[in-house]
Amino acid sequence: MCPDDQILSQYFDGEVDLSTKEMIESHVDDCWRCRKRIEAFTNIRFKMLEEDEIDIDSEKEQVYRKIENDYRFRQRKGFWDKKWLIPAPVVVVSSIVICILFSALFVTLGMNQKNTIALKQQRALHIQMNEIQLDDLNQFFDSQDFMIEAKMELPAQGDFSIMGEPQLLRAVDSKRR
Amino acid sequence: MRKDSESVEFTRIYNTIFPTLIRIAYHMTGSMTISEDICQEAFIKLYQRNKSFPDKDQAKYWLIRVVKNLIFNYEKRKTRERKAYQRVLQQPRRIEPSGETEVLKKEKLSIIQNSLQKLPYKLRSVIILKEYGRMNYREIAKILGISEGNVKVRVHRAREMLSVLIKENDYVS
Amino acid sequence: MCSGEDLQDLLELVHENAFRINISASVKEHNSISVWNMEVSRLTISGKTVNVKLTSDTIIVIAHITPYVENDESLILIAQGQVYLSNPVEESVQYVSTVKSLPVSLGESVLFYPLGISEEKNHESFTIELEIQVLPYSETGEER
Repeated sequence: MCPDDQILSQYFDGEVDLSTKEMIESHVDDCWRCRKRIEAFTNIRFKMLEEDEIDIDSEKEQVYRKIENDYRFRQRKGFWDKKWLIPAPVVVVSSIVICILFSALFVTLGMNQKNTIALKQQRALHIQMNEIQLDDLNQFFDSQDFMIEAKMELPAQGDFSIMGEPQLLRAVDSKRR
Repeated sequence: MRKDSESVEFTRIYNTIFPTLIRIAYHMTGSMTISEDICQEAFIKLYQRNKSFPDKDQAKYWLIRVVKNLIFNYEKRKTRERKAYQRVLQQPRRIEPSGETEVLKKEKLSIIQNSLQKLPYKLRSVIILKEYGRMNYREIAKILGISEGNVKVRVHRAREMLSVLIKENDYVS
Repeated sequence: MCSGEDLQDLLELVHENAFRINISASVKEHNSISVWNMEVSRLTISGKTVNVKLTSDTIIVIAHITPYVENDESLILIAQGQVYLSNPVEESVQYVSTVKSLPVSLGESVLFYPLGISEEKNHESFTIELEIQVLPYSETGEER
């Protein structure tokens, strides 16, 4: 009885236990069909590793030169910077955690007291993230699909900046209305 | 470049791991230009993060993971561009990445490379990590974030599909 | 398996406890002229967040809006703002995060400014403003 082709593939990769290995080896000795299957795997591996297309040495030199000329290689700015460096995923995760904690805190307060107290107005948290681009962050957010998303189409002039403490207020209280 | 022990170490890692990395990138994307960019990016990231690894293999896995992410994003961009193009022209179009035209310029794209490019991303990634990355199923599973069982099945399917593609190619050529 | 009656009860429960959140997001120039606007509306329930992401070339703003029921007529509105502002010169991204809360009434308009507001009348930068309104589910589809 021939072993499953899947098992032969695993055997070929050395990913079977000892007893299975011995069993297959003795079977293959007498089985032309299974020998052919394994030959096919060998053929694929061999053809893949036949390297006639890549000049490894020249590529290696070329890319190394590009690295040497890369400004990030020369400066190593992010590393020696004294600013507070936090990898972006840590920031994102911790901000989600902070949000959950605040919500949890609030819910607890709400449940313990008849008159719910609004959260003390917290000052905003500011963090400077180096070595990160908005593109990286967008890719991270792309993988989460629980948001309403919109791209703001804006006139070219003008830009964004942090203008002060973020605010939440009633429209009637707002002077601009 | 600073000639201190860190730089020497970086160069050593670079020389050791570059061949594996460029092979993986090239056979995944089919474009040498893209592959050079990806490898450059991966090593720069290594340098910037100033990671020290307990052994050479750990460095290799870290770099391969970075390369795999960069390739994944590249593939997604390609698909998005192809879809956008189709929407505009209202007809399907097979977009040749610049790499394919490069390679086609050479006298003959080997049958195996041709066939590899035809594999779907999920199958191509495992067989390339297996044969060029020389990794075992467990390592491949960790890099790709899938189960070992999944790796087993995909490697086998990749081989099956490659066999068929190679045969077809033989008849054509 | 839900029985017919259970389903009906469930639907009534949802009707009684669900909210419609209307959000009008604007970008304002010189503190008053609106140069971009988006209006969305979502159903939610107490404690379930509605997330809005606004992007442009240099900024990502994510607003997490959550209503919490206080009693029959009033709610607490929690607004968390996460801002990722890129600084191309320094090749860095500034991250600002806040959580603000306010007791509100159903139908009342509330304004959220994730970047803050400038004091000057003709400030150069854009202001991002989210106008938020929480309505009971029964008043569906009503635009302001």
